[in-house]
Amino acid sequence: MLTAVIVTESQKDKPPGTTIAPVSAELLHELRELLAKCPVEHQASILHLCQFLERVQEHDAANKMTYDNLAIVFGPTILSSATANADPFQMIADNGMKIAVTKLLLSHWRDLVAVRRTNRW
Amino acid sequence: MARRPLSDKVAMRFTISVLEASGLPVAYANNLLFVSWRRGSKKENQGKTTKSMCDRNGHVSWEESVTAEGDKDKNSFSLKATMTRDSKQGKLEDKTIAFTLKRQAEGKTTRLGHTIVNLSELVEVKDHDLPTVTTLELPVTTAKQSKNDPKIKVPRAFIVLGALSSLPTLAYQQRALQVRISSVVENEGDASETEEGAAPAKVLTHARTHYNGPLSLSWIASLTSSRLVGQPKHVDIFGRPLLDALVVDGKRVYDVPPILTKIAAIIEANSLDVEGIFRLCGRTSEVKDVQTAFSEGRAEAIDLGAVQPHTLCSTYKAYLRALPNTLLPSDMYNEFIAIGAKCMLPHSLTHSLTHSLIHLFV
Repeated sequence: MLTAVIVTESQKDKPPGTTIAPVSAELLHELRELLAKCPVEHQASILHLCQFLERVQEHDAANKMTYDNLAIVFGPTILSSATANADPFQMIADNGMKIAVTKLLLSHWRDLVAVRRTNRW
Repeated sequence: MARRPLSDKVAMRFTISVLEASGLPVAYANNLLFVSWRRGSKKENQGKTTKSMCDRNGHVSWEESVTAEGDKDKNSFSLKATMTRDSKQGKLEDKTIAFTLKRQAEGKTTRLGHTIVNLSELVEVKDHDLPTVTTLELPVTTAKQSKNDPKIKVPRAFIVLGALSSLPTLAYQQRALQVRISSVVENEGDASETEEGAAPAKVLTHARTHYNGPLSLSWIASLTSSRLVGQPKHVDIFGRPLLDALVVDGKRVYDVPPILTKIAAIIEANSLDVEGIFRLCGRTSEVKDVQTAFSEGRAEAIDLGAVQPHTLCSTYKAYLRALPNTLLPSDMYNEFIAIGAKCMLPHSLTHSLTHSLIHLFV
């Protein structure tokens, strides 16, 4: 009973298609660890993308680009499988998960991506 | 919770000997050849070997030649470099040293080819307490000779280097390394010495990297990227690895590809309030034009501020999409997808709810 009430309360203002689960600390931790394993040059560009898209999202009243919309656009762009001829049905199924993980990244990047010292010489 | 430092710096000394080159074309027989090296832009961080005669088998050795005391040309040299360790990853960040094979004939010096070695990899070949000798074959990019020279096809050329790295903070760790340069890629254009490192080059054949010896797989991967580090100034960056866009003339210049930062700056300045920014597409022909401008290094020449914002955003996305290894790396695809799945699956919901409930009652 109580469970059902909490779900309705926490989700009622959100548009359809958003992630259902409230973001758990474990999940953030898992994503943070995974991002830390990425090559450094990827990390720097991921940070750039997150910072830039945060600025875009701050203007969502005018540009209508919420994190949900940005994740739909960027999910398949920033994450794709190395396998060329993947099963098309699997690809469609994966698409939702790409968008979900992208939204998690974009909306929580401050908790996820280390702001590195610049590495120029 | 105390934050761990993100990176730390280690001053290291590398001792590198240039030993030999072989597989050179017959045309180089009886020519005086030498190798020059350069690490970064500092004057003390460059030098060259003595000149040595190439024999008729396309082999040249620098080992035997005697170097006079105080001579500025040295076949072995020692180099200090500050390596930055990313403590999160425990890896040293890339630092490269470029070797250029040159010929001296009739008072003129000509570049014949070059290759790049990643210093961080000299340190990171792990777990061998005894010095190990490793043979690596690196692709070399050869410069085509000036116009009156016949076009020289080199099936296989390599330079052998011996290198030792020492980490002063650790007890006597050193290893020997031999680097071979193989698989020749031809340059276009005159490559005479006038502009060091600035010869425009076009990759005609894909170079293969071979190795043998006690090396880890990550070494092979990094070899591939060291090769890419050597890309000249203006190559088509679309569809090339991220690292290519960060490096100019063998030096890591950028943290983030300029195409991304430039477009982002213009969008932030002018177009944050444009409805459907990044969702709507630019006109294909205009996107192509902007792509070509960036690929040919003409991005400064066109006024990006005058380009339609949707066109710029489409270019931005197109660059990311064309990366052979996507921004969230493809080899971690399953892990990222698994996190996405957990965002959506009810079980993670119930899991976190259980937590909230526990908090309610405790």
